[in-house]
Amino acid sequence: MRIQIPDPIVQEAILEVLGGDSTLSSRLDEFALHNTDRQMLIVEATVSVSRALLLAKCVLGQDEQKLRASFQSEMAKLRPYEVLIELGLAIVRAESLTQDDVFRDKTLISDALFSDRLTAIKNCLVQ
Amino acid sequence: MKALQRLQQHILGTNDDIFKGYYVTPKASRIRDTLKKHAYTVTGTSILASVIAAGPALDRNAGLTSKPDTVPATYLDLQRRLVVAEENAITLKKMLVEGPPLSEKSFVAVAQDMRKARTTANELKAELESYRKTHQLPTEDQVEANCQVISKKMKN
Repeated sequence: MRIQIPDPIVQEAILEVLGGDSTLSSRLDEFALHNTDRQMLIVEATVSVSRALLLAKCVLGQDEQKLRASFQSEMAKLRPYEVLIELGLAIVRAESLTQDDVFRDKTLISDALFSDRLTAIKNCLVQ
Repeated sequence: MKALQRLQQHILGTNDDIFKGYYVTPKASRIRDTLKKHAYTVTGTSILASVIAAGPALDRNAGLTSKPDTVPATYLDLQRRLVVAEENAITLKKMLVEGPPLSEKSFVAVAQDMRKARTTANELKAELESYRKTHQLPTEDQVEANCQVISKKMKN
């Protein structure tokens, strides 16, 4: 990726998520290489998906409806741009490969519930 | 996926409203408290800070500078190791207090592990503090003040 995202934490997270995906990387360059407003959109999209993932790990089952509604509103910002949808999906995929997560209490947010929530986030992205 | 976790812990430590209106797991609340206490913010006006504070309603005309932040990954990794050590100590304590009865030998071993985890947590806290001093990072109060300034800016 040739874009320098104006924040190192987000830059590192995106590079990690992209891994060897040169297609998505090129598409992000094409989208925002010389456009700071669009680079901000990439930052916002990355933060939005990361925030949704955090909630998916931490919110108790009794707030499921509210949680799903927040996925809708967070992901709505990405939907106008196909490349941001792809980035969002790549972040969710990367999350599902994470082995050493520290935030989720697996006794209260089971693997099945968490997986269900990740699917819900993906569904909100692809509508 | 360490970088993705660093981003998430940064969001959790600096976004006051992230859990507002939700019932969350006790573990999530504890981790948030720890991260908030040791939150990393050098510039209260970094782009990431503004995006996190604004949530879904970011106003790009809010007059924030685009000064790049220079968050050292080592600080965030230290922070995460502290969270892991603290959670480990809590899990082991639960085993002693709430779990099924243990043999004397096992009880002593678990108690020893719990003490080790607490010692590790204390050492990591000291390391974080020393990192703050060496790199002249703001104190806990200054971080809190920074976060409030960002929230106010974004609400106005």
